[in-house]
Amino acid sequence: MNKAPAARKGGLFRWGALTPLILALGFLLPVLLLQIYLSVHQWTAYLGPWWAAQFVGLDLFREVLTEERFLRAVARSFIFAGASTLLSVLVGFGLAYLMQDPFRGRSFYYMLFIIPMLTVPVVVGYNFQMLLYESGPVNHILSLLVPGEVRISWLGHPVAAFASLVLIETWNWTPFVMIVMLAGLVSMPKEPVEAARVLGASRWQIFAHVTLPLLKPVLVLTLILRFLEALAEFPKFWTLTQGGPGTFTETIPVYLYLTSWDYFNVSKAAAMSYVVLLFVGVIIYVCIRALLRQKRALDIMFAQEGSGR
Amino acid sequence: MRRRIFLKDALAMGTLAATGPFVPRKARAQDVQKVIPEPGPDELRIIESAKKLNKNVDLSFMAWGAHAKGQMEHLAAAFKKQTGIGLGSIVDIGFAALSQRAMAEALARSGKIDLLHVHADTVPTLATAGLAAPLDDYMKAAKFDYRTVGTFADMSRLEGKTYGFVTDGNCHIYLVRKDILENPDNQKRYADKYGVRLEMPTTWKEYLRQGAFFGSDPNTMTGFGSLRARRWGYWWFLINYYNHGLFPFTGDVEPNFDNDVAEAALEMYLAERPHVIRDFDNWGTAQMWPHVGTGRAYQSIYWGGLLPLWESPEKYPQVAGKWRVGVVPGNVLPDGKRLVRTIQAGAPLVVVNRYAPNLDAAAHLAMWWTSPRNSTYITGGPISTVHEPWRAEHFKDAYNMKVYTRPGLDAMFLSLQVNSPSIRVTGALEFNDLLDRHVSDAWLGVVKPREALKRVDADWRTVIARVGKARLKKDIESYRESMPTVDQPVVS
Repeated sequence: MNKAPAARKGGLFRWGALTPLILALGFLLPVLLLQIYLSVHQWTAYLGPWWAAQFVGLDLFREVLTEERFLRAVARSFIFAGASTLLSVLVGFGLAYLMQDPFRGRSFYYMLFIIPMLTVPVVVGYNFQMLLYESGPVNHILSLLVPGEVRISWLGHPVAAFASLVLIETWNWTPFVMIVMLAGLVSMPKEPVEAARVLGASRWQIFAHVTLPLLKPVLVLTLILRFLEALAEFPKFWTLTQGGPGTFTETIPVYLYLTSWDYFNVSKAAAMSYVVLLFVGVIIYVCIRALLRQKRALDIMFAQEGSGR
Repeated sequence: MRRRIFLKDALAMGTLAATGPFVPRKARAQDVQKVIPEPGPDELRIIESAKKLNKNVDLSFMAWGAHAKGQMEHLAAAFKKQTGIGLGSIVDIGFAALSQRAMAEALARSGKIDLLHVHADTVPTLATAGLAAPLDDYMKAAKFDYRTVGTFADMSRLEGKTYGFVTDGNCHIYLVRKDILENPDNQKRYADKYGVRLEMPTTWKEYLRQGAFFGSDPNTMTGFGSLRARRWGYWWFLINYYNHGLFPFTGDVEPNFDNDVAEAALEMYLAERPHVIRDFDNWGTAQMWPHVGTGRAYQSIYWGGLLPLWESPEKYPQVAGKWRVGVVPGNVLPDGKRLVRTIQAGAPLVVVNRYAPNLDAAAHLAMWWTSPRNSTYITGGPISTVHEPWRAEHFKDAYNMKVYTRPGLDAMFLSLQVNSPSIRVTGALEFNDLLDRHVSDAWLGVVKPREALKRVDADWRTVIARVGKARLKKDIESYRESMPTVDQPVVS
């Protein structure tokens, strides 16, 4: 008599959990299937309907993987994402560390620090374009700080343009890192830090051997999220450089945009997307494995501490 | 009561104070502003033909907002009164995204957009995609007179059919700083150094020499004020390329860049680099306009529509009244023939959506806008016009004369005669971008000029293979027809 409602409850729970998944799949699957279809057919949008496109098998994947332009775009994207992620994590973590204990005006600083993240990327792009002219405010301020007139072509010189984009991305997304890390720091158990302090550990030792290991899962998650976000960054590149000067800031999103919306070579763009998806998938897999390893290590550590007591 | 009167008076005074300073300026713009012209014979024929459709519709227009606002809206309202065909909505699209949105519409086939503003070089692509409707039957019905200076109208044609109408004579003219050119000290210094008189350049060699002379310290004055940014710079290379008597495709639909003449053209394009500031390497129009306007460029090749901006004492007192304008310099070919070629860049054209339920009505509104009298009304604007003259009638218009000045109109008229399109075949955006990409790298010095041209050829071959030679062969015929028919402009 009692089993029937329990079974009904279990069934309801299962369906409740499965329904969003089924809906998500139902929504995504047609797109993914269409993309697979397109990536094995040669469809150029203006040359005819997609259903009449010629089957080319894996030719487009081969073309993409052996294309110097694509591989260069991948390299630029990874360098950009890696550098901006590292910088924003370093600065963001630093800010979070400074902000973790209450102090007068903390809310004001918090608000101030998150402003960049709240700014629309396209607006960020246009604003920095104005700031970075050779005769613009940034060079003007630098000229006041150093002897002689600073005339760096921030967006005209290939290396400077790339570095500028990295710095702008860092400025834009450091607040995100700060918020996540701050949440991690605040929710961290206080006992291990207290214990280390009682045992006479220095601030650096506490940071390096207690805080950092405890924060590692949050840190790794932040790194993954930030890296993936940076890998997909498009608005700043498009508003600031459009892939230039020359081809020095042509990253994966820029090249994808050009391929699909300038060249209308939708099939090649689909193949490129899958290749990128594969790269990103591998990165996520490696990161999740690392995250799980960290979690297991922490679980063991806490279990040992628990049994020691 | 007294308080209400006081408040009313205060409000009136406040309004006057707030708007007062602008009234004279506005009035100045208004007093040269044209009123909607009375329909002439051409316009009456369009009205008659439109009335036969017996429609009462408000069409939608996807356009670069700056183009559609103002005169085009006024004219559409007038057309509505006469025929029942008007403009209901304008979908405002950024200039650089016109082609992408047009292609999206070609794929969607929604028919929700009746009229579209597109770049002239995308006509073959949009016709191939099935979006642009041929308008010849409607033109015949209304006996529509669609003529432009030079071969400008041919940019909207493909295989003998007309797929749209020009609304803007976007054509590059040549501007040089008169005050610097005519300065006696400069003339003496120049003559002493080169043994020739300093005068408005008529050859590219002289143009480059003068740019180098006056732009020897680019931090104070650049020799050249034309674009080199990624995605835009190649237009200026094409000017040099066409001036060498070259055409981008060979007779058997092969790319035509990997050769000595094209290399010479590219060397000419690259010769400006030491005499421009480094920001040029990635500057777009938005940055270049004020640069030229604040007097930091000795000479420039740019849209004629910028002349009112740079001649405006209110906007740019530094250079207003200091320009001499004309057609771009020319090149003497090995056979002794002098060739002058300039370029159309991003000329908006109105095309009609083949899938639009009111295709016929849309075609009539497009003709109405581009008819002789109405298009004259559209051209011009007080400052930085986006509707430059393109019909012979536009060059006789008193309003245009005020806006562009007589020398400005003459420069545009001459330039239109030798105006060439950018690459205009099916897949134009890809062809143009691939050309630009390698030319940009050559500009930075990342690759040698010849290597850049080799890469253009190699990349183009893959596009040619994808689009198909048979299709491109037909496009190329139309492309050739839109090239100038005269070697150099004729002053009439």
